[in-house]
Amino acid sequence: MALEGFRFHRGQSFIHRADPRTKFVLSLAFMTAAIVVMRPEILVAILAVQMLILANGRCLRDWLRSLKGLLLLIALIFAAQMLVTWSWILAITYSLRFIVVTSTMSWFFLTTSPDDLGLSLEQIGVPSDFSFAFTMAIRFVPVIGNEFQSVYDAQRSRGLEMEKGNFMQKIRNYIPIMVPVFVETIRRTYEIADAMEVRAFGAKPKRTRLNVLVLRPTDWALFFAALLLFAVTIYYQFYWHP
Amino acid sequence: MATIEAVDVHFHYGQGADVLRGVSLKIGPGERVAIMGENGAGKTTLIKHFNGLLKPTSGEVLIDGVRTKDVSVARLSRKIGIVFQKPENQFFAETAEEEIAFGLKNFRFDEVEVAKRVEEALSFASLVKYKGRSPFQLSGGEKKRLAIASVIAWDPEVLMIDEPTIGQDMSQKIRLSSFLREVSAKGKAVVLVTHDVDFAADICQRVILLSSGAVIGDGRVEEIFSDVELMRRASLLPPRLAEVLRGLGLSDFPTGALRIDEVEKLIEEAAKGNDGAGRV
Amino acid sequence: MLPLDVRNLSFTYAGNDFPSLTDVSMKVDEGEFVLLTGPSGCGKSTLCKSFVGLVPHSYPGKMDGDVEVFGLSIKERPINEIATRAGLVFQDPENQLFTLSVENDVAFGPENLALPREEIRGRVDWSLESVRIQDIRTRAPFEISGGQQQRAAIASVLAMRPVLLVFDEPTSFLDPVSAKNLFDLIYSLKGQLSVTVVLVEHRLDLAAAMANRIVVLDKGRIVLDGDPRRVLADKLLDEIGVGTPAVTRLCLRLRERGFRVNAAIGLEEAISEIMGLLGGRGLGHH
Repeated sequence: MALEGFRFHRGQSFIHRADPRTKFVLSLAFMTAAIVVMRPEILVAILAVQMLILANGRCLRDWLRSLKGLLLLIALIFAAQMLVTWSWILAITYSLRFIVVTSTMSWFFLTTSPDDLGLSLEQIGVPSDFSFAFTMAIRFVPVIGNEFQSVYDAQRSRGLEMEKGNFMQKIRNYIPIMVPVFVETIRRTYEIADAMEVRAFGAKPKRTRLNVLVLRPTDWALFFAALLLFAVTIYYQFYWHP
Repeated sequence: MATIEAVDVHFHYGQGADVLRGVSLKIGPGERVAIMGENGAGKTTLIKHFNGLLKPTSGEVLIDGVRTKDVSVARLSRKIGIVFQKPENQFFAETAEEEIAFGLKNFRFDEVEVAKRVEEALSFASLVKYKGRSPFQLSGGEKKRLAIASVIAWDPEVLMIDEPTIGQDMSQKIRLSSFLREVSAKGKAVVLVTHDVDFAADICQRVILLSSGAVIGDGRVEEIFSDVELMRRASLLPPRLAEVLRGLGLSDFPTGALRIDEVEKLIEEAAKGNDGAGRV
Repeated sequence: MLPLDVRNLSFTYAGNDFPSLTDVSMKVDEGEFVLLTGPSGCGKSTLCKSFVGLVPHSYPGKMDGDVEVFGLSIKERPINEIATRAGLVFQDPENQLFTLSVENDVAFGPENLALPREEIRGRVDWSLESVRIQDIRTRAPFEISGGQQQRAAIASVLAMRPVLLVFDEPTSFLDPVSAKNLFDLIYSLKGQLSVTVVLVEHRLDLAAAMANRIVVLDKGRIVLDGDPRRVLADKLLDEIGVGTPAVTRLCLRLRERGFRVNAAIGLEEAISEIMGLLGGRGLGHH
């Protein structure tokens, strides 16, 4: 359930159409700000801006769902801070920081297509093999997820009860689940490799791409907004003493 | 022997739309039923309700009068054996023997029983010579037989197979067909989820048609397969022999009419009435 | 230059002690539509892989004989060169689509060839049109049906502009109606694009009527090769476990009983043959 808050959904919003590289710089700005800043009110402000972004991309609900899944972790962070420092403010600050960082990753992945992500990696110089492997991994994660479910169903139908037995037994119960998934995944990679070969993968050292990412004026504007945000945050944190 | 009953079953995953919309049916001992329909009609979702893997979001599924909501999947699986579509999704043991023993051990058969049943299952599926071989080395058809053998080993009261004929050639299908007849002769119900109309016509007496999660047809195989409109709605092509009969002017198919010997007989009878005009 | 010239091909996968193919020879002329069939494990898939060079380059083993695709020897030329002449569509559409949009998948091949962007765009548009899936060009694999996925896979192979198209049981994972639609597509593609087609299939009922030639393999050897009517009437098919199409089988059985019927391929032919021996009166009147 938590992972659903990070899965790409198609869209036409401003944030969807922004270049992945710009979005990356923007998220870096948010995350750095979140880590540097110690004042909870600034973190709340940053969170508010993120929520605006999420609203623009129509993914508020997905984001809330991901928060629901992370609730346990957030509570743990809060409790840990309380135990160590006895300070409400610090506990809230650290929890907020965690929420801001995960929210950054959330809107980034919710609004950026993995294909575009791979393309942007290629365009900034990452070797095409790596960026392609990256996109493919994302494409096949749901497939492997389904495979897990199918295997789980099949083994339960043969009487496997995951909750039964002592600790050692519980660990052993995972073997009938892991082995088939593992074997299938390996077999799948052979088939994928065959299909890639048949499409002349590796024919030329450098591939031409059908679609290219071009930075538009709005992307540059967003880029500078990110820098501005970063500057303002630093100033407010270190130099503003009311 | 077990009876399966579905009472107005609705089912949806999480926030999604209904995958099953008001399915009601009853399957009794000794029946040979085919559940058919287009991809996405809900066939696999439906049979997963029969051993409790899925529970209805509304309505009830009863096995021998007991609600599946009240029983564990393991206990239900002891009665309702399901062989899923891809045998590769369950193989993990080092030998075919261990693969078959897995289910038996889960259901707490003692060592002597396990050994005995493994032997019986292997020979029933003609896999004795593969006893010590790795399941991963078997061919596609053999894997399917091994998957079926591992389920019949624990002798469930109902045998359900999801897509029994995918990737199987003719001789394998013939073998499977006679094997399933033996199973139902023992009083067990056989439920096949399949697209293979010819196989269903050959071995099943009853067909349940699903389309978009609802039952659109439930009756004798000859009845259902002769209803062209119904078949089309379920994305199925009628068996070729049914098409031949229809092309020759027959619209009402008597029981067994879809088997090739019957069709041959029908044509011969008709040709006799023609005073052997067609004979060589 | 023949699209396909298989010369005494034998192949044993590394690690196996028995050969998958033994002394296979066949010549395929331009414009032929060959149906390749045989019981499980007969070597059909291995043979298909040899048509594109996957055997022996991706699957090491001992190979004797050779296969020439438009004069290119699979032994000597790399796979990416053969890929511009011969295309292979596999069974499982899932593993042939690597990206998150159909368009990107169709562009994949031409991108690998480093063709100019305009050329890539042209090929993508043409491929999508040929298999009639322009309306789903931006969809992701999980958003489209199995039949559509397989069409996308075909489009991505077409974008390589092959002149030999090989299909290895492309309808295995499809329901009957989708399977029929796919066969219709393959048949029309052949007419449209003047390619040579080799189709591997179990379900002879639908496929037999499309082919002008049937080749049957058993245990790694070719056991029948020729005109569909002659091949389908051969008793050997039953012996090795290949299913004669139901309508053909019916006609053959009637012929055995002394009736004057020919081995028909396809529904219409069967009906007209049988109508013939019924004196045109059909079955509804007795």
